[in-house]
Amino acid sequence: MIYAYAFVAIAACVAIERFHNRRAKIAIALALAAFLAIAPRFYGNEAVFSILADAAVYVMLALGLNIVVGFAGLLDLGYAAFFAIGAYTYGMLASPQFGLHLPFWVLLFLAAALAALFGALLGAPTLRLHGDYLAIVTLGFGEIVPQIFQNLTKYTGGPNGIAALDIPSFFGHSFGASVMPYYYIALLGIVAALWISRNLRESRLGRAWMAIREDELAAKHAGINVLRSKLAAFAIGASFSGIGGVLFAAKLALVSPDLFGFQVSVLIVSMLVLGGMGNIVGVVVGSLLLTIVNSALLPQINSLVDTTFHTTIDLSNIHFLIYGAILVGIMLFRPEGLLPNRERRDEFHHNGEAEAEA
Amino acid sequence: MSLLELSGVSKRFGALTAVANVTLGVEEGAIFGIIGPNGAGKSTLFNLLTAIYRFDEGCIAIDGTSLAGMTTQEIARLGVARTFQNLRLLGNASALANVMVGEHLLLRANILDALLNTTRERRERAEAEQRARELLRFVGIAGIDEQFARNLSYGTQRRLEIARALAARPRLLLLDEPAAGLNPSEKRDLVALIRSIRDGGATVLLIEHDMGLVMNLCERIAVLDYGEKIAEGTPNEIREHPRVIEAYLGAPA
Repeated sequence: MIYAYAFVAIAACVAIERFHNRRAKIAIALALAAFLAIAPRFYGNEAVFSILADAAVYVMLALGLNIVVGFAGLLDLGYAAFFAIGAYTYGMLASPQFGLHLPFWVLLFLAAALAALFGALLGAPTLRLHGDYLAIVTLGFGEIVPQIFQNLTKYTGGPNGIAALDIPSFFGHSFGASVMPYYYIALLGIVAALWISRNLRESRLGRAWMAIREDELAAKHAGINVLRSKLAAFAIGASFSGIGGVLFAAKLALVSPDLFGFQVSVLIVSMLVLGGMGNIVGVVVGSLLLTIVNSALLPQINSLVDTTFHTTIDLSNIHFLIYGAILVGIMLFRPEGLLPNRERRDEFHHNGEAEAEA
Repeated sequence: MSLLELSGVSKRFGALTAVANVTLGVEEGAIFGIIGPNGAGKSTLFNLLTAIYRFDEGCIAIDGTSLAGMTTQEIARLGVARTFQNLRLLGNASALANVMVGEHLLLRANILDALLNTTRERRERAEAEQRARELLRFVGIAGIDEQFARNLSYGTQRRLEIARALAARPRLLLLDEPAAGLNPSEKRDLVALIRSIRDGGATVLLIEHDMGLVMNLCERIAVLDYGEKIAEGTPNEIREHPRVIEAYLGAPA
């Protein structure tokens, strides 16, 4: 069933990408949104919608990272740090930890603002770094932030994290144990993230990012404030994952440092690369696919192997192997990603031609 | 007062003096040429003007404002735009987008406008796009708006880079070897284009190797050799100048 949903969503994304007519695109997007909103009425399996809600959170994260990496061209390998900051904002301010029980809705926005602030703070020292150097420094930040949460035991519960987080409510109606509210909020979050991404791409700021990505020196000569534009990319990108972090933490009712390690940052970068960096719709497809593979396909392959061969092999040990093999395959056969934008498609296409001629 | 004034400007890279004690002034509305053999310091001089390098000595001023300590971006704000010897277009962007990037300083939309796609953002975008199309037509490459810069022919790329520089409505336009790689008919078009840019109100300072083009186009010329200014004057004065002939043809035996 989960595959049916994912298939519909991905097919709709591909269709949006293929159609050139603006109206057709909007019509498909609205139809998809309506389908995803109404679907739970006809099929109420909580386990499926739990995975879909997680997938939706990851789509938000990927869209946020896409602003930093895809738009501004700043390779950030520590993006999970902002996810952690969002999650711990909820964990610390809506739990018995300090006896603070701020409302979920307030914290959504507070976490976005805090993540943006830290995005700018962590971005500031990296502004003059490029390429590999930038990647390594952001990698460092990605390691430091969970370490800080792990070691500030007094405030963050240390390695155990914080449990029994508040269950959010909506005008007095508690979310209870249901995952459906998170699913809907995450869908709304995606709609907002898509809208903002599109606005940014077409804006004066978006053109400045494009110029910085393509040729920083030329951007400076056009009078673009490179440092400020980069900070804006870090801050806006981080704010998306701040919101994602709150949703994630509230749904799980738990935060702990091991949830936000390096593999999460790598996962999100993989989503971008897989889907087609810079292309908003491609990023959505990439993150949906990888989340479904991770949380549905791989566990199912595991149980399938066990029942077929009457074994009790724990395939989760080679989880990353299978996952890696999928990525390697895609990079070999479609290096520009599944749904690239025109720029990247041409870029790889041209390189191919050049090699063929050589 | 001149629009651009350099007095005693020097730039050293280690033991090498790339620009040595250069003094010159470019009048508003002029087409001013800088020539000199390879390695004479011409491009270094341009790079000092846009703060890619910092000068070690002397003073550079635009309309009386000293450039000392200014960043590239601040100098752009003063109304200085340039093209590059080896073209620095945004290859993976459309021709139109390249020119719109050049318009950055004319626009006011801020980060909130960008996030919310406000009326101001949309209005400015429409205006910027309109102006960019006009500029492409002005430099003679209308109809390539949506093509990627990197797929354009060399001559078209050169014009596109000029269009991007003009998009900022500069007071001072620096052209670094604008005719390099162009065929004779493209060079004739370029001369006409540069004249109409000047007639539009910009001051043009250019580096060029093509003597015929420089002599034909520029009202004043400065000659650099080993970083020093060895001559300055009208094309006729330069043509007859003994030190220029020596620098180009070698000292008489």
